[in-house]
Order: sequence, then structure tokens, then C-alpha cells
Amino acid sequence: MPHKTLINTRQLIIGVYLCLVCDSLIRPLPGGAAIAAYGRIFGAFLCATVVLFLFGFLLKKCQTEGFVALLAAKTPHSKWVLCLLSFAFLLGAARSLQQSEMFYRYATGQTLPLTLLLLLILVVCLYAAHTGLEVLLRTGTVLAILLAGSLVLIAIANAPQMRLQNLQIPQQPIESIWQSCMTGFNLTPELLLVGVLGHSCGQQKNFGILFKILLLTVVSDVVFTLISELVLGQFEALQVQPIHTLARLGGISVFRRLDAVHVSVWLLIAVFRTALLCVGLGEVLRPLLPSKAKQAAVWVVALPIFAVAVLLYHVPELVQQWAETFFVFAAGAGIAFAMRKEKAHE
Amino acid sequence: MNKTKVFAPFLVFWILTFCGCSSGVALSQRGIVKAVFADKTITNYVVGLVIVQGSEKEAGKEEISLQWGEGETLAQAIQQAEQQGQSVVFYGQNQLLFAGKQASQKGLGKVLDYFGTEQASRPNMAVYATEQTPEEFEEWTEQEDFFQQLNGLEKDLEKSHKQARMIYELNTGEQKAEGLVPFLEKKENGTDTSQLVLYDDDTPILLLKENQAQLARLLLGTPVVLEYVTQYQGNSIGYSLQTPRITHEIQLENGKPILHLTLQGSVRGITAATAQMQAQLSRWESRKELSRKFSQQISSELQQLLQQTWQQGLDPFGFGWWFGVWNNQWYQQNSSSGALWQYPSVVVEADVEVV
Repeated sequence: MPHKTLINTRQLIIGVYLCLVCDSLIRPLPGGAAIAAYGRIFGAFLCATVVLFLFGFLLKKCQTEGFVALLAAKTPHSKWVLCLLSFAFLLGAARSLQQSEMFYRYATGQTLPLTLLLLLILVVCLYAAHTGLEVLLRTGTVLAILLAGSLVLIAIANAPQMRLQNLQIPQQPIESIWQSCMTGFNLTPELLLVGVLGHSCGQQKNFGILFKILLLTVVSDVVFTLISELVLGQFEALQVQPIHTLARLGGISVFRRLDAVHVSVWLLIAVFRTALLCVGLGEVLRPLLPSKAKQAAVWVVALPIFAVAVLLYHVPELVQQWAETFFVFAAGAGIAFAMRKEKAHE
Repeated sequence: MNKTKVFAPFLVFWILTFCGCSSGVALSQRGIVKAVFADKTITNYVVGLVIVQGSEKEAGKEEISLQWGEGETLAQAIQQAEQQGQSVVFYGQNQLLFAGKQASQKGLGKVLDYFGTEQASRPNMAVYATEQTPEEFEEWTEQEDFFQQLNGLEKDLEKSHKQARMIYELNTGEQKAEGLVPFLEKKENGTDTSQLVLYDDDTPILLLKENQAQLARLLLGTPVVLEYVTQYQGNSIGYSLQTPRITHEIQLENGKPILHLTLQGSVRGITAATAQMQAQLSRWESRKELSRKFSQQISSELQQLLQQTWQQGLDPFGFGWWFGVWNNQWYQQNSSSGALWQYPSVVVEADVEVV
């Protein structure tokens, strides 16, 4: 059964926002940062508009009693919809775990065995998920404050290095924006969290929640992109992790080497994201589990997440991205289809 | 007693041993790389790592060692250099990269590209072109005050008006050095990094010294202090221009865009050889005349810099960006056809005030 406890809307917005912004912080961009800032900024607005359009109408239906019944496996279409949702959340959680490990290894140069590191991060995430959604979302608020501090620190530390002449002038704006959309667009299961958890948020409409989340994410992305290009210029195109490079560059007064501070905050957010996705997976899987396993739904997902995460190391990043987009879209389409069938049946 | 409660602490302790706590490298085993020297021979790259370690003989003192490596690629040369010593090298404190004589003459782009993309090296390493061969560099490291000289270079990096340029400011990703690179000149009592070498297509073509180099830094956006000496009423006077700034403005003249660069600033503290002259300088009429004179002198230096760079078809200061912002299509057409340099498209002047 979905949680009946009322979730704080602001905390949900912050939680899902952290999940989306985490991608900008830790996802490797081999070749991605080669696209000029204007292309990425306009691409971000376009992609956000498409996501809002795709999910906005879907999420309206997620605040109905029919959707609550669907999530509780009380309708004929529940099982396959919940399976689709499970695949989407499973892939999302596994990708998040993999990205956390890759970023940790990249930023710290740590040579711990891969499977052991994955296991350790996963255990931490599952324990965090086990503490409950409300606790997790409250922690998200603290992380958001830490993130804001981290970003302000990066901006101040790199301000003296910013040069207007580093901003690239549009050569072929349409192609650049299109390329940015193709490489950057993806649907992530965090968006489905708004629907899965949003009905517990009281009166606020899911569409409004999603709009605020996407607005925050796009604004953050614009700020990251502008600061990166103002400071790094063409050097940014050579960077796998441009935001991490900014963290390594800047200094304030006698304080240098502040990148370790930033990395620790970003890794916490990565763990938070993985934990929230584990919660989501547990929520959608719980109705499908036998009654004895329902209480331990969060721990049941451990092995599948771990197995998929290990498998993902053999799958190219772009394929992962589009596979995730496919499953999330399929889950959303499945919900829309099932809701429509239920309505027609009534 | 609950088996889980008994077993859990051992499990946690066991997991902790995998976290690197037991496999960490002690500080005494780390070789902190203070500087990297990279040069070329005909076929190979030569890399020297300046390693700092705590002295085993004297507590609180550091020992400098130089580890050399040679290889067909920079990566091979660095790997060989790392294996020369007993310690585990640590690049986190490395802020200095010296390019040797051959690498500075040809191939600096590949050096910048390697260190700019290598994850272990810091993107804010200061790059210096030198005329030193590996043997001369080794001689330099053997000097008693070498460590102090390196510290002096590092202190320069913390200043707002630093003379250094960082690797991320130079790296264009095309494996060719372009733009202005600081030149390190070894002197008897230390080093001089005030000069700048202008690179075009990975080849050094111009050396800027003294105020020319400072003006170039100002055009690149670095805060500088300009020191001048001039003649006034038969006497030498010195003055310094504090916090100069450059304004850029595109104006259309006869249908063609012209970029106007104006250097503005205040001159504080003019020094004269005699007390009588010093008193005269403080008069208002003298200050007005001096403002004009100083402006002319600085304008002349700016014009000379322009002749050596922009008017030769080079753009190390990003003047083209301003034309691109004004009208990118026009700029692309006229820069590729060369029309942009067939009329005085950039005009410089100085407008300084004696206060």
C-alpha cells in the first residue's frame, strides 16, 4: 500500500530536484561539454518543456483515486504497470549507483575493488531508504543547503577567472541546440517519483510540483553552464567533469584545494538520489511481493540493483541513457493507458 | 545474546579494512611533486619531476630530488620518472610546469594538451616556456635557494596581478600552442617571469618584455601595475599606473566596424630626481600636462603592441570576439577573407589622469 502519511511538498520538490541536478554534477560528459553554452542552455529549456509536456498531463491523473488503486495492485492493469515502473526504477537506481562509484573513483583516485565499493555504497543507500521516505526527504533539505553553499563557493572562488571573451559566439545555433538536445535529453525515473509520491502531498497539483522542480533544475543547469564557459572557455570541451574542474581551480584567499569539500557534498547527493530511487522501487514493487516480503521491500531490491549496476559497466553511456528514457516513457505511457482503460470501464 | 549484535561489529570492522584504511600511503612515503619539467629530444620526450620529501637527517627540513624519465610519449616518460624513486608520487600540490628549450621551440601544444587533460595533474598549473635544456634544469635544481625560488613562483600564483598563465587559459585542444605564454628567464639572483612569448601555430614568434608584456597581460584581463619612466622639462620622472582598465567599444565609421580600446587609469605617485621637480609636479597645471604626456606614451606602447600582433593577422587578445558579438556573420566572412586587416579595424588610445 502506498504510504498514507502526508509528505511535505517542499521536501518532495527539493528531493526530486537534487536527484535531477545530481546528473549535472557527477555524470561524465565525454565530448558533451564540447557543445557551446548557448546550445546547452537553449537545449535545457527545450528539453524541460518537452518533459513538462510529456509528464504534465500524466501527473494530473496520478492524483486520482484510480491511480492510488493502480499503485495498490487493485486494478486489472496494475501488475504490468507496476512491472514497468519497477524496471524503470531498477534501471535508474542501478545507473545512479554506477555513476556514484565512477565519480567517487574519478574524484578520489581510490583503487578499492569495484564490486566491494558498489556493495558499500548500495548498503548505505538501502539503509538510508530503510529509514523511511519522510526521514530521507528531510535529509534532502539539509543536502540542498549544502549544495547551495557548494555552488556559491564555486562561483565566488572562480569569479576572478571569469572572462566574457570565453563565451562562444553562436556559429550554427540550430545545429548546436539540436545536438545538445540529442545528447542531453533523457527521462529519468525521478520524474515518476512525483507521480508515485505526489498523491500524498495534499492539495498541491502534481503539475505545479513538476514545474517547480524543472524550473529549479534548468536554472541550476544554466548557472553551471555559464560559469563553466566563462572560466574555462574552450578548455571545457576537453573536460570529462567540467564542474569538478571548476571545483579544483578556484580558491578563496588562502584556502586552496577546496575540491574535496565539494566532492563530499556531491557524493552525499548521489547517495541520496540512489536511496530515493530505492524507495521508489520499493514502493512500486511492494504490492507485487508476497505479504512476508512486503516489509523488507527495500532490501529485496538489493541484489537486482547490484546485478544491473555491474552489468551497466559493459553498456555504453548513451545506450544506458536511451534505455532509461525508454523504460520511463513506457512506464508513463502504461500508466496513461491503464488509467484510460479504467475510466472507460467505469 | 543475539547473534546479530555480536556479529555486527566484527562485520563492520572487517568491511572497514577494505576501505583503504590499511592500504593508505604514509606521508613519509609520498613524494610530493613540486614542479614538472618537460622537454623533447629528436625522437623522445624527457620529463623531470621535482620531488619534495621530508629530510631523514634533519627534522622539519625538506629534501629536493629530481627524477628523470624518457619515452616516446609523455605518458611513458612520466611513468619512467615516477619509477625512479622509492616514494609514491603525489601531484596534488604541483602548480608549476616548465617547458624545456626544444619543447618551447616546437611541440609545446602537445605538452599542454597532455597535462591539460591528464586527470592527475591540476588544471591551474602555471606554464612557463624556458630556454633550459634538461642538464641546465638539473643544475638549477642543485642550487641552494632553488626551493625558495619555487616557493616564490608559487606565491606569485596567489596574487591578483600574477604574471603566470594557467594551463586551462592556454589549452585549445588542437595540440598547438597559441597565444601568450610566460617566459622564465634564469638570472643570477633568481628568476624573471615578466616576459611573454607569443605563439602562433605552435611556434614562438615574438617576445614581449617589460611594459609591453604588462600591457599584453592587461589586454588579457589580468590586473597589472604599469611602471614608466619619461622625460619632463629635462628631468627623468617615474610614475606607476595603478589599476588600469581597458574598455572595448565597436563603432561604425564609414560603414565599417572599428573596435576602440581605451586604457583608463589613475597615476598616483610620480617620483622625480630632485625635490624642486617633485614640488613642481604637484601643481595642477603640471598634472594636466603630465596626464596628456603619459597618455601619449602609453598610447604609443599600445599601438606598437597592436602592430606586432593584430596587424600581423594574430589575435591573442580576443579582439575578434568583439566583432563576432557585433555581427558574427560579418566577422566570419571578413576574417576568413582577410578584409578585417585591410583597414585600421582596431584603434587604441590611453586616457590616464594624474591625481
